[in-house]
Amino acid sequence: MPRAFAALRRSIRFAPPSVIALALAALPTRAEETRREAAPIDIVVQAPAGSARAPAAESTVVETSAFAGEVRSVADLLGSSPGVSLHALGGPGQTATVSLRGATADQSLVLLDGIPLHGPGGGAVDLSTLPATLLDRVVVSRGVLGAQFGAGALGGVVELVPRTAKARGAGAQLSVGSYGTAQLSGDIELAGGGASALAAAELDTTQGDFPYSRQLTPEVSPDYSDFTRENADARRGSALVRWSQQLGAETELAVLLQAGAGVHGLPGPYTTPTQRSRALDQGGLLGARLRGEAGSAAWTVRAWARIDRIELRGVQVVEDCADGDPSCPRLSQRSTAAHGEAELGFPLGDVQRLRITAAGGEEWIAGTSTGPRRRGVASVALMDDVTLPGRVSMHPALRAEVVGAQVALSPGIAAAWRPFGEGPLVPFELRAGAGLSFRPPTLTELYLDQGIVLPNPDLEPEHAWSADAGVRWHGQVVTISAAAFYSRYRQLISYELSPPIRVKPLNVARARIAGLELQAAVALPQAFVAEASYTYLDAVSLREGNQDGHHLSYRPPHRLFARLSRRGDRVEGYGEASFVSSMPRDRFDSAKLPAQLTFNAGLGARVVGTLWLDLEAKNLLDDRTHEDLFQYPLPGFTLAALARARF
Amino acid sequence: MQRTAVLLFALAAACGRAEHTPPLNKIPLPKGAALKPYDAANPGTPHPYNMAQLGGKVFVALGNLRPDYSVGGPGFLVGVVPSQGFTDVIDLGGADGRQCQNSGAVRTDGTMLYVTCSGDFSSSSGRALVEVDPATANAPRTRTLAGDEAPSGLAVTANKVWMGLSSSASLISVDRTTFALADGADAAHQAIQLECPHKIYAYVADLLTVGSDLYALCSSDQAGVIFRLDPSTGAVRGQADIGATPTALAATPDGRLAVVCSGDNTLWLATPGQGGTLTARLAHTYASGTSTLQGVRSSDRYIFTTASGSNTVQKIDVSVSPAKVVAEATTGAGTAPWDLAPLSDDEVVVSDSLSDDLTGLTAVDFKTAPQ
Repeated sequence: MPRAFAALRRSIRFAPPSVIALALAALPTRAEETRREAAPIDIVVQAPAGSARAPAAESTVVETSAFAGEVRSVADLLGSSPGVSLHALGGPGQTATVSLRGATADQSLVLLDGIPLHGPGGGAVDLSTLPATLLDRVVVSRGVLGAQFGAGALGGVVELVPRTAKARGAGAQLSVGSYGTAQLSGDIELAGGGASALAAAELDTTQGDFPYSRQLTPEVSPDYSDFTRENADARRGSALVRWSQQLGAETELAVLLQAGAGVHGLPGPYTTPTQRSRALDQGGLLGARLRGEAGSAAWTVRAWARIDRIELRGVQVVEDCADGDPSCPRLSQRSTAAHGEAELGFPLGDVQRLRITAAGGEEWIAGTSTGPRRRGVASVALMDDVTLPGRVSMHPALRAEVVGAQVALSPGIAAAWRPFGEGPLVPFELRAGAGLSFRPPTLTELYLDQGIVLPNPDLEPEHAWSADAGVRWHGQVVTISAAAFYSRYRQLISYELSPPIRVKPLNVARARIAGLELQAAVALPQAFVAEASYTYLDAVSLREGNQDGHHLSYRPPHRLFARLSRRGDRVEGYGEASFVSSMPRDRFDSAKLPAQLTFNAGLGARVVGTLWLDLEAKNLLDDRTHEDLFQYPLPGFTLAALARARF
Repeated sequence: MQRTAVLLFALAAACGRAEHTPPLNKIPLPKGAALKPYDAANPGTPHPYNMAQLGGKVFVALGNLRPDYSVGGPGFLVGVVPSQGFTDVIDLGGADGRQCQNSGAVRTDGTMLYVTCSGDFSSSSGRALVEVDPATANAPRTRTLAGDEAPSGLAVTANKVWMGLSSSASLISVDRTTFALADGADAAHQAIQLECPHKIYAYVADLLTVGSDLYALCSSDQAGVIFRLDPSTGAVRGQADIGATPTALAATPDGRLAVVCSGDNTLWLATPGQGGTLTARLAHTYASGTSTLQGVRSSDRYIFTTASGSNTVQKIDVSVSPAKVVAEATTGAGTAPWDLAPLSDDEVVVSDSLSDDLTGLTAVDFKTAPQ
């Protein structure tokens, strides 16, 4: 019956998100490394360059070493970047997603060392499955970057750069915190004889039983009642192995293995708790890359394969059920992908360097709700870096891509100009970019049949274009950037009623999203660093009918982040504040998610040798009313103690 | 004399208690074998939906659905004495148990009850209109509907029982005398098509007869519209735009129409005018913590609404402008309140679509708004 539809559709959004896997890739290409060295220093003080694949794009680099002594998830690492929206279905171990510039999580690519990660069936990546301690840095590039990165990069790209062996040694870190949360990680690095290797592992556990407060009668009373989150526990193990071997003066082989497994409860929204629902996931990725140089040209050949599996237990459309009952079957899904890629980079005269990339592969999905499905993917890309007189650089790119039966072209261009070649204004830079690309429907959208949720094999890709422009100041002490962007989306996939009560994905929505991004970082005396970022977002539906002109849901118009940290030889610490403004919870601007203000702080000292002890507190105001997507509570005050050492 | 006075007082008090016996806080509904599951290993649960009041009882339609929303058995109508529990369990499935599945909407003409059966969403079976005689707790007449005619709301008029369809903005009717399909029967008697702007879908969410008018709610991907219709012919007399995804309507104590819209979390009031006109205005936008409005009903003085996403019931005074929520109650996490039946200005019975019982709410359960 139609009246059921609204509740069911809401409940479908509650349905536990499926799991994701980690990926792995090989080392950066020679050409990329060359460009990285030449690229401008990005916004974070003393950070390496921005994305090598998208020079001159608006980007932020987050080095994980800047957060030593802090318990940081990948989502936490992204929080300092402008243009980023983070959403979580609870505390540690629960699904967290990222979206860039108002795009959905599906429309923002997440790469591990250059390899695209996907949720099950191609959906959004669950950041909670990615171990932050195994990463060296995170690069956030914003804009429609399909030409540079491939399909799906409509809001931008998050590049996770895993750690590499830098010297012989080993390290370990242990943290213990509130709500039964603990993390143990360790690594060992070996080098010698033209080879280097790194092995790292991370174990995470949490009971997730944090207290939260809610209004039971929001129409008449501001009073809150207290509850405790249940079935929000999580356990996860992750491992990373990187090995590289010099095969000759100009040739190197690199291999990367990444794997992880986890189990967590699916607690459901606080209004409809699902205490019997569980998710189990396993995933891994193996990749190898051979790279070399021939004269002024650089070449790379790379192959990788990835497998992910998820099993949901005690899960039904709206409520939970008893695992093992005939009416409560386990839902499993396995996704697999294999991919090969070759790249050749060479100079064209004195002012150009051209890269040609050809890639192809296959992806498969098999599950109780999808059946076995497969599709091929292939692309050819041409990327040019042109240096023009007057300190102008241009970076046009064009990618032709085939995903299943769908073919699309993704053009893009970025340009940067440093008006001053000498004098105090040398750090000043102007930049601009534009791109057009698409997101193919996921295999889930195409084939997932869960009774009330219908598949739609006739879905077309979503399309978007955007343009942005900005200014940067890259000084030794101060870095500042400001950028504005405008983007248009069409053929957006939206789950709509398919009478009488089922829902089906259709290409029906359109939107425009504009925004402003500011970021600044200052290196202060005594090893202090101050940084701040601000994002303004105006995301408006252009869909015909009563949604036209209303804001898109779950896009905060204002987001502010500020942080003061110190990394000294004996003492370290930080304090930070995060403000996320009230945002629409529905498609009609009539229900809002309240604004959230959060303060975190930490303090640590090197007590002996390389042993550091740190204490960290999050949500210092102990605001237990925070919630995120779909009425999932977030934790209040949490405390954690950390010990770490390197040998 | 004194003893007589005491007796009279006691008698009056007893009578008073009989008239105002409060509803049970939780009213269990039939479960398990009582719902005649098609597969004993995979039974349905009640999934109580809409309710109607008749003869001191509350009648609630049971979807009898499994957790995946497939049908677990025939549709049921259950009669409940709010202060005691259920008294009648009426199987609507007919001889084969499959003529009526997923019963949802129920209305009464004051004597008989009429129930729509939306059927199995994954097939075309079980769509029907069933007439129920509460006096005998039997279903004497069933009108089977076509597979593409899944009914949603219904309204009873003098000559017809009107049903809205969930697959299109269409109305069909059944003749009350013959119980044969009237509007929508054939090419010569086509279904009434409501002009409801849409590109993807449109459906009739609810119907109601008030006086000499039939009202219908249309919900679509582009609009929400309330229509005022001729109850005999279905001809449109007037219409007005309302909020997004209207779900239910009720006559207010002062003769207007109250409509809850789950899409934009709003309450609208429609006023019928002379010559068949109809105007509507936004009366209240609910708090952000309130979500997924489902039902609306009237008592003598107030209207009551249900919100299945926030597990709340609102008591609203629509005699003031804007309308004011004067009290609110919670039915508890995981209940998903759907419809309600006001027993008085302070007491309601609520159908909890997820927890599969009814909740009785009294004045002590309602938290009043600050003045």
